Amino acid sequence: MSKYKLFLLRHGEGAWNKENRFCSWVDQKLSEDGVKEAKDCGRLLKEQGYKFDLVFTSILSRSIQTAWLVLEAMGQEWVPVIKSWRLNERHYGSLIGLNRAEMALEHGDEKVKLWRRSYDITPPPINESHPYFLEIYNDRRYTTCDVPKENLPRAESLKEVLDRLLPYWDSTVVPEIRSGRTVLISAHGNSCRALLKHLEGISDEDIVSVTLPTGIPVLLELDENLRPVRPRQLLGDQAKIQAAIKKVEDQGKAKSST
Amino acid sequence: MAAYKLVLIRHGESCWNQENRFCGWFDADLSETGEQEAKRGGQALKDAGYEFDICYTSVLKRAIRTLWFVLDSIDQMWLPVHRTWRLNERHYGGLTGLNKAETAAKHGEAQVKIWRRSFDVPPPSMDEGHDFYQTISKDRRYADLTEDQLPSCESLKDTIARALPFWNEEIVPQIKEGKRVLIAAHGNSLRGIVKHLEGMSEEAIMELNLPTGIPIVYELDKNLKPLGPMQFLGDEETVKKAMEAVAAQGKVKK
Repeated sequence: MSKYKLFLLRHGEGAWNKENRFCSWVDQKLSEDGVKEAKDCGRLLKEQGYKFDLVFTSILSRSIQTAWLVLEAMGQEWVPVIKSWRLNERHYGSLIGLNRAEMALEHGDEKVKLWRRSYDITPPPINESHPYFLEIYNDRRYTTCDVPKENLPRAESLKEVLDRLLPYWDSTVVPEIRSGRTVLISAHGNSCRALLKHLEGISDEDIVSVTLPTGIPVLLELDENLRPVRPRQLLGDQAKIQAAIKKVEDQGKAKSST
Repeated sequence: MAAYKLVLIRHGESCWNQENRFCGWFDADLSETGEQEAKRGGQALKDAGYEFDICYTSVLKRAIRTLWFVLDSIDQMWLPVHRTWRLNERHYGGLTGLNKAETAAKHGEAQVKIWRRSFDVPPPSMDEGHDFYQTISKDRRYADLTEDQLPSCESLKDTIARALPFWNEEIVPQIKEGKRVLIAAHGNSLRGIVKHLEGMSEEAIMELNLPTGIPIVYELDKNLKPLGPMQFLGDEETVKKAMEAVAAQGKVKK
């Protein structure tokens, strides 16, 4: 029997999404379309009468901005928002900033396929010579994390995302859900996927083909052991959802989406 | 040399300000003007290169959204934000929703003068029959407040009495740990903090109207005593106007 409701939301378009570049830990804000996606999502959640008690986001601006826009649309700006690097997007290492063509050119199609298809193969780490290294690691927010800056990732597989997300889920999010709070997690494509893998028990092979559309709230109804009692629901107009799914899949054809 | 710096910002014009209505705990949104004020305030902080470690605000959207505009401007959206009813605007009780003319018509000019001039005389309570009783008193955001804590009206004294414990127990320890604090709140809750910081009298705090949308900076010693008067951040003209407006207030007889 469904005891708890949990909502996941993958933020909408950022400036780099348009160019099909891996944004990852580079801190971009939402594009105009991304803002619209967030507002639409908020409006939908309001229409359906949902009430949040707590929101979790990453420390990347686009997920926070999404959460703010959703809360604003719902008139729930007063709901507490808690931010953690452990919900950040997957760290793409030296692939950050590259688009699919550049990646294939630099690393070859086979390697790129491997990084895409595998659950646990880590891309090459980012290093000091990377154009975005300083922008990321000089950012003050990474001195406020619960691990020292030098221990933060330099690249991640999807498995490694789950490895740093799960302790946070268990210690911080789960107790809130168990106390009956309706939680919204406003995060990123891969942090949401990692969490879904864990909650739904998706295999290492099957997770490869799971992608969440952007800007579409995902409702998980959980029992008292936090296991889903039914398949995840993408909320909203079915036509809109199908369009959003297609958009993400098309991007996957044009670029490596994972 | 200042041990600490504290920044306060009072939200700008709300939709109800436009209509000259007593707002209090009614969750009115910022008007377009109020949004611009918040953006300008954010820009002033950005131009001056301010960094913060922690932010505090009320549970009313006009303050929260002001904070959001500021954090967006200074590119520090990732900062932890704590929302508390204790930083809410003063609760205007039965006057909530009334405009100036309606208030005078309903209660008489003399009574209105008393409420305006008094530090500790509260307006009439908001009772169950009030238009806004349900939307305010029964709002989910106040579900954790005890009966004693949830006001039905407040004098300025009452507002300050419920704001200061939060200042002392939550904010002060953070400042003393060296955290750079930004508080986005309302005229009367900020008056509580200012009165306390500067050791102002009841008469003096009632004369003080903090400018809106302009970051207010205090440099504090290690005992959290201000080293000087509050400073305003912004372009020269904005700052000059704000300083003049504040200076003129003390001279106006009400």
